Amino acid sequence: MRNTNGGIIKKLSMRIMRKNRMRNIFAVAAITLTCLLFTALFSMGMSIAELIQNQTMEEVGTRAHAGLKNVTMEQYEKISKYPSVVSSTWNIYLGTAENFSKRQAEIRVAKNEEELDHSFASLKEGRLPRRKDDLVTDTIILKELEIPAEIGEKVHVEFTFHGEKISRDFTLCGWYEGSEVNHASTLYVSEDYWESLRGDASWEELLRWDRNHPENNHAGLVSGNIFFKNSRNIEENIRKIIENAGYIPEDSGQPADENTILYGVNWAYMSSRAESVDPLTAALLCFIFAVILITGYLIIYNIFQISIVGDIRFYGQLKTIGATKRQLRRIVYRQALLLCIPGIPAGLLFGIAAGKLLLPLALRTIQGTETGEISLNPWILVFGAAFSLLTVCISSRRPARIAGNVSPVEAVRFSENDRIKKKEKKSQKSAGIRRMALANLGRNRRKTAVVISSISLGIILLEIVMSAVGSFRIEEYLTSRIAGDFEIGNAGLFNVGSLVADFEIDGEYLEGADSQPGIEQTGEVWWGNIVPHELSDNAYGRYKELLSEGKLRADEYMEEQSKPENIAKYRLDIEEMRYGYTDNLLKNLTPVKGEINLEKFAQGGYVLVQQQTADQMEKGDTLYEPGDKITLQYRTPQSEYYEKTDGAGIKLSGYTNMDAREYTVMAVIEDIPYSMSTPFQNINGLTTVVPLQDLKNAYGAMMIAKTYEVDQKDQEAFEEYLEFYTTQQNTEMDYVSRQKLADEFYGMIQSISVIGYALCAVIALIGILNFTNSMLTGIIARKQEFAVLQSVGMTKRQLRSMLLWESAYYLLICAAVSIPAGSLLAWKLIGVLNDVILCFDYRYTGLPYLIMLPAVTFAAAAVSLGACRQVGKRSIVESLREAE
Amino acid sequence: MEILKTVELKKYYGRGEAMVKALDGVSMSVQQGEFAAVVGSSGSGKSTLLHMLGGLDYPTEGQVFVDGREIFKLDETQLAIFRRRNIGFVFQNYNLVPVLNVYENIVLPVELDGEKPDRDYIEEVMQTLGIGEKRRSLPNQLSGGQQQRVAIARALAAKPAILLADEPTGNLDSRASQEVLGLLRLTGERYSQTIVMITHNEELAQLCDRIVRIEDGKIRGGGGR
Amino acid sequence: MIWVIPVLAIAALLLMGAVYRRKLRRFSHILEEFQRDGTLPEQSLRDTVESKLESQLIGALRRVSLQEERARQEKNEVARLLSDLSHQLKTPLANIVMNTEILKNGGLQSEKQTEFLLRNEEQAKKMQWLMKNLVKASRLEQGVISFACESAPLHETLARSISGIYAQARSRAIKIDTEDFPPVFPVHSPNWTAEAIGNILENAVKYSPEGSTIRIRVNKLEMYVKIEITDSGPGVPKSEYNCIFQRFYRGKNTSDMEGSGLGLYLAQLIARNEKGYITVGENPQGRGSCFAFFLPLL
Repeated sequence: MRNTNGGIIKKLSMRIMRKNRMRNIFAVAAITLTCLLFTALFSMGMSIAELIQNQTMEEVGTRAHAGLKNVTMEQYEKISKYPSVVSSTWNIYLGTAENFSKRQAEIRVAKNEEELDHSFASLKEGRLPRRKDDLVTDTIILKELEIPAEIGEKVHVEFTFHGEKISRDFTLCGWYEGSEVNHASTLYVSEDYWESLRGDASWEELLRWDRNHPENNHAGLVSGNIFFKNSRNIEENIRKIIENAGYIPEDSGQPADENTILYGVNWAYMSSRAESVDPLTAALLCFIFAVILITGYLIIYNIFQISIVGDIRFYGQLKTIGATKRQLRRIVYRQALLLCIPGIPAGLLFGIAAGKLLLPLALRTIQGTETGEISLNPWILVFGAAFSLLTVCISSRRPARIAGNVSPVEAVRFSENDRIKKKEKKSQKSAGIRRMALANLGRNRRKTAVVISSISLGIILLEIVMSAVGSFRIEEYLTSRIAGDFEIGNAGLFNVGSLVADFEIDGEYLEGADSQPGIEQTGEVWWGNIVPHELSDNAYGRYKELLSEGKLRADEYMEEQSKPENIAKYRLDIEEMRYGYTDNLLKNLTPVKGEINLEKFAQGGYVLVQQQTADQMEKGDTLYEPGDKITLQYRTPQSEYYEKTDGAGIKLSGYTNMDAREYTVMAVIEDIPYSMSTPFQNINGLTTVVPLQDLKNAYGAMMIAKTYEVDQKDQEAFEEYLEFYTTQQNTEMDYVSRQKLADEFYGMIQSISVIGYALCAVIALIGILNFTNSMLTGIIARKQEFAVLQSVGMTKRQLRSMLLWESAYYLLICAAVSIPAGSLLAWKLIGVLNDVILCFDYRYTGLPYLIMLPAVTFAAAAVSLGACRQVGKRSIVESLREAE
Repeated sequence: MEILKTVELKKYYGRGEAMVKALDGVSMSVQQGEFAAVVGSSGSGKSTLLHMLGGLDYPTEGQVFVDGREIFKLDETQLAIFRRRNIGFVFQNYNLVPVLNVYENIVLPVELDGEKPDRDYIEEVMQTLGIGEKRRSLPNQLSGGQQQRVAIARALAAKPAILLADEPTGNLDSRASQEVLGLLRLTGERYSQTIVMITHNEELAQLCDRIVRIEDGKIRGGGGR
Repeated sequence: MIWVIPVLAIAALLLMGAVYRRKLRRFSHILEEFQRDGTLPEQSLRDTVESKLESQLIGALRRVSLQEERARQEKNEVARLLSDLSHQLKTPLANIVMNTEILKNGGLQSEKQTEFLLRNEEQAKKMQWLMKNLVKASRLEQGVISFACESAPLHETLARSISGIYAQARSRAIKIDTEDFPPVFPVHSPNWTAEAIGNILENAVKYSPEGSTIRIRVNKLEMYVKIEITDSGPGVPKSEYNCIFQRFYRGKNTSDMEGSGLGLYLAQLIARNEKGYITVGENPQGRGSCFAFFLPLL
């Protein structure tokens, strides 16, 4: 039976707590700050993760965990009956409306309103379709049709169902807010209408029809949306319920037949997990996490260490009376936990508030948007509290052990410096004030080290943040993103990652822009489609060289034709991408080898070659050197696309009837700025810049962007027009503006800096708190010593200057630690970002030291002087006696 | 009946030339119920001896038997439990827990053992020692003599077999010293305690049954019967 | 699966029972051992309730055995007292027998006869005194005499003991000087205390040089009343502090003085029975000794 002696432990912890009021204040502040940092971090992380998940779901179009694809109603019902299915809904795809050009509009029948809610189509007004001609759709479609969002409006819809053209008017009975994130809008019709459309066809017949008509796109079949208890093992669960219903899930290794069921797993539930976090963000989060943990540890540890050492006699006494090691440790742990009671809730509260404040800034950096609700997931509180508690426990481990291991004999005469082996300082040339101050730092080295690392951490962090902020290159960024003040083009051009090869500019848009007042200069970006390129002998040799050096990208999924080893082996054609620019844009190209002579270039016969861009390539790696002859193929109106299989069994494709022209390479240029190229990257291929005239005349070439330099005073009007056209007239058109980009860029830097500086501020605060605590406790612990010093004739002035020197030494060591460490770390860490972040180039800054060191100096001096006054108030005799 | 025995107890500090022999082969024994004084000048090793008797410090060599049990064979936790059940300490500087009041200080060893204090007994001890009125006071509100009487009461609270007193009157004036000593003697008799007291003052030792003299870490007389 | 629970419960109960029995057996074992030959086993030192109870049991038994030991010592003490008594009585008895023999033989002048008779009487009286005091001492030792202690005025007690020694002091021109002190009421038995203080005073008068002063000072301490008796005699060497209160102890340099070695012994016995005590020290003003008699206030 365990001996129940918890009561006295409680009482003792409580009493010794009450004695250490100042310690408690510091400790609670430290715990609060640590918890604040953790909670803010978690709440922001969680909010962002939830936001991403929500966005992904919206893209997918449903919140359901899994979906059944193209099933009959019987199959759906049989499968969704399984008990692990918490809820399920369905919809039936009837076809895609053909009378809307800008937005894809799918016609569906929905089971109920729940289905709409899960599909991000919650009704703003109205009800579900009930009558045959009822219809529900979204604001985007209504806008295109220029129909007000009002119940009772007529909507004309044309579509094809099972080969039959249908044209029909519906009446609006409800509408929902459309989202651009979702690629399509939905027109919901009633079940009655579906029944009339379906007629007598049985589900089996519908299924059979679908199998035999691939162009049907599964019209007339059910999509089931399944919810499980939670989002774990969705794939396993869905396969299980399909099998349970007597069907065969797809990819079961059996040939597909009528019993095979296709299913989908909502990847929003998978992608928001670890794999979707890019390693940089993950590393950053880990770094911040570690910094918080270390800071929290440093200060809480230091506070407890100092207070335990101060109370060591107390623990020693208890030990002589017969308290066991365990009991003493429990007293320490209990105090730590008691201090958590006010500290952690306060930290959680402040943390959530801080998260709420900083979330928009964080979102701006990561997502580019600012809207987003702070997550109030209870796990944030649980994690915040748990990690703060963990930090507290880790921090009080060593102090607890010290208390537990105190030797009862030593405790009776323990004082702060007893732990250090006493070395008699023989060289007492002059018992200088400074020497004494330095010696004081040395008497508790561990404490000194903790304080110094705590302050240094803040300074180092600030150096890192400020270096990072200072290393963004706005000019570089702007030139890479935009030429001129405005650049107009197809939305597909500006949307990085777009896979739609549609870069055509709306003629009306172009005309409209050109007719605006204040245009000073324009520039044009032309693009010729991708064509095969036959390598010259020299280029072939360099190609093989690059291959042997492993610099060409080789994916196993590449087509045979594109595999570098095949190209090298059979001397196949590579792909060539071709640009043409007006002279003012050509100036933005930077030569790596050779020189660009614009006049000579304009005369024709010359071409610029972009250096190779694959990941492994080094600057200047190229297939053609300046002066090389190069033959480029132009498509002609007679060119036709072909595919054939050559003798080696490789499928080849290309164009017939090409027009070959010979050029001389004038220069090899650096990567063409984003603003002057398509989002396509011709990785292993060749990218060239030909004289604009050649490209303008070529077949299949087109202008993909036009840049404008506009008089300052007309810029606003110009942008207004672009804004109007791209949002109201043709949403496929888009533009970028220098001002907007600059604002965006500054916004991103600003949010990084605010978050970074906030973190630095809190950590610096913790550092100073730590220092203050150490100084004050150090001075209080040495009260008697000071009294002795004063009794042998040290003046108060000398005492004060000794204390000041002590803080000066702290600072000197801090500077000696943080300046090299901060500079080195910033260089190492920020240097890595050079390659990761666009337009980022590490630049050293010494500003943090200039800010922090004087600030800490000021704080340190204030603390020392304040403490000194406290000591000075008492008479020597009083101080001498008090120590007893 | 022998309750306390040391065999060739040695405690050396340091090494080589700088080595200090605080105890150099001390063998002594104390009978049950005895009030023994260990007398020696300061630096004679008497405090070290007392620390060893109470298991507060480990010897370099030799054994200490308490109630027939060799205490340095116990592990640390066992030793702590052994101490709180069998040994009471009274120190020169009282060593009261400053944050606990008189009553709480007295019952501390009992409570550390997870026991409900025997209120009548504690009451009686407090009356005997004349601190009944002061039960709610904090140690710093008491005079030295009163603090030491609290310390004696605390040492008696767990009814230990042995009471070890290290210069119990070292911080007291002569009046308070004689009082405390008388009380020590009185309570020792009343509660059947074995008491070993360390002192450098011969005059104070006269109330003891036996005087062990220690000089330079060696017994110079009175070591055993 | 359901049947597992009761089976487990029963198993757990049986196990608990077994453990409980084992613990009980350990306790009964300790008691048996102790009753058989008075030995106590080693305590088990764990932070458990059983271990604590065991320690308490052993502690209680130890106190019992200690009291038995004390009783045994007291018996021995009485035996020793008897032998001391016979030793002390030997000389006077032998004197009486010898004197009586001389008287029986006759042939003595009447003056001489009277002298021998007086000597006999003196020896007999001495024997009587010895007997009386030793019996008193033995009773005090054994605690047979219980005196009614009460809060009584010290002034009276002190006056009684001084008046008992007054004549003797005067015969040697020794002054007894009592400092004034406010009335105190220590808990004591006036009769016995007067005797004890009387013994100390008698000692002081005996060893003090003629014409000197014996000072009595009363101090009220926190828990005790301290009665200091300072003389200017030869003093007590420090090495004898611990011995002078022992029975029949005679100071090494006092062999030329007459004395029984019982007075201080008796005084100490009385003091202890009153929960007080006597200590000896040096005369702070110079030559001589200072006896301090402590009487409890409560």
